Amino acid sequence: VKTLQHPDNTTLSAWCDGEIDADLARELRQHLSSCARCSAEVEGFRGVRRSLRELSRPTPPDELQYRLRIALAAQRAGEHQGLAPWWRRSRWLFYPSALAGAGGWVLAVVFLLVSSVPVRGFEDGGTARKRSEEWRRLERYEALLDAQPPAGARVEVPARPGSSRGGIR
Amino acid sequence: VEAIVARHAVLDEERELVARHAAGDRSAFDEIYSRYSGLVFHLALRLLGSREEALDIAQDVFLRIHRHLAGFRGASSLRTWIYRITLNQCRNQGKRFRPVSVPVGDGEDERPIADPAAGPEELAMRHEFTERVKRALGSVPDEFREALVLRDLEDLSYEEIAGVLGVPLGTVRSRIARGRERLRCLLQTAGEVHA
Repeated sequence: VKTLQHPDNTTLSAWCDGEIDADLARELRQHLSSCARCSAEVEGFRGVRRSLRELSRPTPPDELQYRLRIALAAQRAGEHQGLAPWWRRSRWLFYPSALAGAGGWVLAVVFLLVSSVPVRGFEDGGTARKRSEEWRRLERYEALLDAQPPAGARVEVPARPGSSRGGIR
Repeated sequence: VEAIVARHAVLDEERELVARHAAGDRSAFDEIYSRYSGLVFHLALRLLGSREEALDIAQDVFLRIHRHLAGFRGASSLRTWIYRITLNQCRNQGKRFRPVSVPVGDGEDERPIADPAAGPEELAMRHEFTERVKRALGSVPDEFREALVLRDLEDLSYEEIAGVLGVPLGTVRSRIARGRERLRCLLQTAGEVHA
C-alpha cells in the first residue's frame, strides 16, 4: 500500500483488528492521518464492531446440562442394549446358531450331490445292460399289442417281461 | 514468548483432558462442559438466532464431543475443534438466521449490557438497539456472518478463524471486511451505527 493511495476495505478492516504486518501498519497510520475518506471507513468498521459488542453473552441455561445428562444416560444405555447390532448383543446365541446353520448348509449340499448322481452309476455294467434289454422287449411287446393281426392269424406274443410264459392272441 | 508458553500450557491441559476422558474419567467431560458450554451456546445463538435451536445444537455438539473426543488427535486446539463442530452443526441445521419476534433469550438468559446506574428509559433504548443489531446481523449472508461472529463476538484471531472455517487467511480477511460493510449499511439504514 502506497501512502498516497487509498487502501482497500479489506486492508482497512484487518488494520482495525491489528491483523496486518508492522510495515504496512506504519504506512497505513501515516495515510490515515491525512485521509478523511479512509479514516471514515475505519471509523465505520469500528462502529460496527462496537455495535456487535453491545450484544450480551448469555450463559447457557441449566436446562442444557439437564438435557445433556439425560441424553448421555440414554446413549450409555443404548450402547449396552439398543444401539449395538443384534449379533453383537446376543453372541451367546449367535455362535451356536451360526454353527447349526453352517452344518445344515453342508448337509444340504451333500444331499444334493448324492441325489443328482444317476442310479445307473451305482449298478454294474451287466445289470444295466440287462435292464436295457428288458425295456426294449417291453417296447416290442407294446407295439405288437397295438398292431392289428390278420383275421384268423395265430400270433405268438413274446413273454411279458418278468413272466416266464408267452401268450397267444 | 509468554504467549507461546501459555498456548503450550493450554494444549497440554487439553491433551490431559482428552486422555482422562479416553480412560473413562467422567469428570474430564464435566470439565470440558464447564469450559466450553458458554462458547458453544453463544456461537449457536448468534448464528441461528433462536434460543431453542441454540440449545438443541449445543446438546448435539456435546454428544458429538463425548462420542469422538477419544479419537481427537490434537491436529488443532480443542477449542478450535469444538468451534468447528458447532459451526458444522449450525450449518447442518439448514435454517437461515431468522429475525425472531420474541427477543432471543427473553428473561434470564439474555439481558442487555447496561450500566447499572442507567435509568429505565436508557435501558429500554439499549434493548431496542441490541434487537436491531441482532436483526441486522441476521440479514448478513451466512459466510460473512460466521466470520464476523467469530471475530467480533468470539475474539478469535484471523488464523484461528481460518482454522475453524477451513479457508485461507485472505478469505477470512475478505469475509470479515464484507460482513462489516454489509452490517454497517444495514445499521446506517436504521440509523444505528454505534458512535
